[in-house]
Amino acid sequence: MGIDLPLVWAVIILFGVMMYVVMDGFDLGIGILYPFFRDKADRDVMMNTVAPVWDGNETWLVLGGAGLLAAFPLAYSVVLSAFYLPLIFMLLGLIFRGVAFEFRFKASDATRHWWDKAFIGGSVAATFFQGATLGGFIGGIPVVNRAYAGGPLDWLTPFSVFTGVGLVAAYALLGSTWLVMKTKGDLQRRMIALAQPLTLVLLAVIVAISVWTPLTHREIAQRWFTFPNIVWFAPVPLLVAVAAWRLVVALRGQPHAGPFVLTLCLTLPGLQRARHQPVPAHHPAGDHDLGGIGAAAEPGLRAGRRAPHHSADPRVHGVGLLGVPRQDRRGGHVPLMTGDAGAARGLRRREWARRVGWLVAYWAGGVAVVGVVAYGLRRHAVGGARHVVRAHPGPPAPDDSGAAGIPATPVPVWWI
Amino acid sequence: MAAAEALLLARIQFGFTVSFHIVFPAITIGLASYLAVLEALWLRTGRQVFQDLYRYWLRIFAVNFGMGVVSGLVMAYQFGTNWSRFSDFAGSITGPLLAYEVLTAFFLEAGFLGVMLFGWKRVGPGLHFFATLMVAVGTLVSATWILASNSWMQTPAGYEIVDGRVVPTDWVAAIFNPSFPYRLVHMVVGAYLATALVVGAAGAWHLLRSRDDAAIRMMTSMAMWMLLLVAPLQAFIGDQHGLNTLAHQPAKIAAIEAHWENRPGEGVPLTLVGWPDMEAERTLWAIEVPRLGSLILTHSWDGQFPGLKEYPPADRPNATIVFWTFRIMVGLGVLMIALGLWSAWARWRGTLYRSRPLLRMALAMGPAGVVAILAGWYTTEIGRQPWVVYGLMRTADGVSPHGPVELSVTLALFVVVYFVVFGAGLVYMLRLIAVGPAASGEGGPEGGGPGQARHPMRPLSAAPAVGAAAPTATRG
Ligand code: HDD
Ligand code: HEM
Ligand code: HEM
Repeated sequence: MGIDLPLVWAVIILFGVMMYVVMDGFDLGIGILYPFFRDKADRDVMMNTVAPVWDGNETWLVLGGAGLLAAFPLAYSVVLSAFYLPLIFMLLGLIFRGVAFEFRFKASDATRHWWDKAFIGGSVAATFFQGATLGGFIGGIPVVNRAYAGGPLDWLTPFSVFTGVGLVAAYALLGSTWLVMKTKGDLQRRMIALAQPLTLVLLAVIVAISVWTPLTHREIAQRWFTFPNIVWFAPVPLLVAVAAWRLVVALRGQPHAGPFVLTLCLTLPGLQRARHQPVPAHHPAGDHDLGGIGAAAEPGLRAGRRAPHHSADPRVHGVGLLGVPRQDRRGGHVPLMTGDAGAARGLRRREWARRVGWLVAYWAGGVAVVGVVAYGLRRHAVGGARHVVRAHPGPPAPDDSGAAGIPATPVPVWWI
Repeated sequence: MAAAEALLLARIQFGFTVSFHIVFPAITIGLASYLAVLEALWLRTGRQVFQDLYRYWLRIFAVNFGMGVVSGLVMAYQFGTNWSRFSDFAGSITGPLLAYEVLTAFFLEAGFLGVMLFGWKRVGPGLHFFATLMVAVGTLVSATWILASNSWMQTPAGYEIVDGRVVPTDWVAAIFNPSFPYRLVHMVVGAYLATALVVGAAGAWHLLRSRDDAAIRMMTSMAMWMLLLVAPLQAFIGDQHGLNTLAHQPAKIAAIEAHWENRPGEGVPLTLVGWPDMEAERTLWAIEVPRLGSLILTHSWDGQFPGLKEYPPADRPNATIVFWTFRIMVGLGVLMIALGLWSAWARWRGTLYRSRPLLRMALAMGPAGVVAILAGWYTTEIGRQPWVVYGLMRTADGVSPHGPVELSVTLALFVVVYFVVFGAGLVYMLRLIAVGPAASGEGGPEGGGPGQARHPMRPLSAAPAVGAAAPTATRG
């Protein structure tokens, strides 16, 4: 078959989603931060830093959707119907957010506050429902006969609400570090003050999700804690910890682009969680004990969840998996967690103890390694943070950008 | 019962969102090309009017584009949220087409759009013009891919069905499927017409309110030329499109013409107006012209084409709707031709910028292009029923398994949000239009030709006759 097309597409889609989080994350974050800055001049500056780029950024989301449809029609149709409501809410949020860019500058002083509110509400709603969709995705999707078989509200679980809130924090941090990079003076100072607590909040969210996920999702725990996957995942908490620490340090100094880049380092590893969700694939769906909360509530469904094996016609891009290859139970890997998927899902106490034990060991190990590395890096890192060069040209001179009403923007042309 | 209700709601939701969406890209396609022409003229002639007009329409373009993007984003997800079984079935063809659209066109657009909107002072005029041109090309490329996808659903080609799913075998055939060339040309020309009508109406509005300067004359004149030349062309393309549809989707044509059955050896009449009754299988209160139907569709005196009764009731599109949407489109097309001809006559008589009845008609026709585009799409899409992919998959089999409750909630939300948001957008656009182009183009006192002010900002009635004085070039 030559190139593995589904794999290529999976990489493209993954890249699209990553780019989306990076790019749209910071401009959604600006909407989330709006309530903290009530002054019109501040708000103008904040919005202008992203006005020329937001729609390009949003295109990544279109690419994610269209790419998924192109390469994995089945995954597209199942996932999008499963998350019908949160996705529609997200889209409606993006509508308000998007038009606010144009309308806010056209509105009269008396009505501008409506578009400010639309910008805030749209950004927060879009972010929250993106996060909730992600959380629901980790939770699993019941599938019968190549179609979504759950209810309209299956995605709504404590976990997905938590991931929704978590993403709001993540984008807020992205937005504030972006503005730290793009502004100066008083606004920048206030951004820094905001970014510091946000870093801690985000760190807490990441830790909570990382603990929560394997505890409640046996399939994922099984993936994480089996050899050789654990080798790949081991550096993740490390990376997160280092990034968070460096971020706090960088914010103390004379920050410029550093915090923004570090926030990305902090956010992206969090994202890879979604990849652990096996979407019904070439494998018959009955093969998956998706461990979804929705699925659990409908025992009848699970029995019927065996979809016909679909052909491996190479021209039908089957639903490849956006993730690490599934562990083969018969294979010779060393399973750190024994999990027989056929067993009833009720978690026995011993199993819980074992999982918690592994988690503690895993994290303790991670923290220890971080400690060692941190010690080694310390002098260097602190020194580096002090020497951050202010490469930013500062706010540009007011610019008649050609058309009245279209704001001058501090974003240099190379960004466009 | 709930399933039928859910299907209807899903269709209404899709139709509602795409109807809003199409309006913005249509104006975007037209304005992008118009802006490219204006900038080219400005670079060539150096006349200030063109730059003034460019800046004026650029602002409106920006608002319109923003609304196109957000409404389009919804569309990209509606295939999965509302038509998941269809996406699973046909995604290997419609998906890549959609993805190519995003990859090629939107990056082109999104990349150069920033330069176009914000780069006036930052880049040289040559590069700026290049950006404008790329945006214009980008909109056309977008339209090409999305219409290839829609046309494939109308007249599928280049595929094979494997295991109950479509598999592409020949991409060239799939993209250049039988209805694609017609649909693409018809749609793009429709977008140009719709834009010309909006531009013309803006000019007419200012002229009617006695704001008469070089820029306003120039845009009115350009719009009227466009109508004169392109409206008849659109009628011709539409006719060819209809003949092509007869070859591939005869049931649609039968519904459009409310043609129930053939009488042996007799030509088919053309029903001008009437009320096609799907239950009674006949057209009430019909006014017919004998044999004209045959003449138009078969180009012969007594040619015949399939009637609706030749299809089982379950396979008939709703003739009541498409009969009327089609007549709205064609009727507006005829009015556009009339307006173009009238403007030519007035131009020749030298009253183009003064004739109040003409200007009033131009003003009234402002929304006509958009309405015609929508009516045309309703004809096309509803005439394709009950198929979502013609002859391969029924709409009822393509729908996602949602209940009526979720669908009603989201539909209600869409309706409220769209009317509020896009209603506000429309108000802002109209306000920008009402401001008019910057008045820097005036200065030259006399002259009657397009783009040259006579007596700027003075009531028309007080103005001297056109052409009384020697034209002077206006430079700002
Ligand atoms: C790329 C594909 C595509 C494109 C460009 C369009 N449509 Fe469409 N349309 C569909 C793909 C589609 C569809 C997915 O195939 C639907 C859903 C169910 C169906 O019958 O076709 C549909 C249905 C559909 C319906 C409901 C049909 C019915 O009730 O029978 C309406 C009213 C429209 N469309 C209107 C439009 C308008 C105004 C368009 C102008 C842009 C348009 N469509 C472009
Ligand atoms: C159901 C079908 C459609 C889908 C799924 C769809 C999808 C999209 C999307 C996602 C965008 C925004 C992309 C961005 O971020 O820039 C968009 C904009 C656009 N669409 Fe559509 N579209 C549809 C119908 C159409 C039709 C029928 C046309 C024209 C013939 C069209 C032409 C355009 C153009 C030119 C743009 C860019 C200009 C603008 O945003 O105003 N689309 N479309
Ligand atoms: C006056 C002569 C016209 C004729 C004879 C005509 C003919 C047609 C026909 C037969 C269709 C249906 C095609 C199908 O079955 O797929 C159609 C669709 C359509 N028409 Fe027209 N038309 C005319 C004028 C216009 C005008 C003035 C506009 C817009 C400004 C317009 C815009 C459209 C659009 C957007 C569609 C749907 C897209 C498509 O299928 O091409 N038409 N037209």
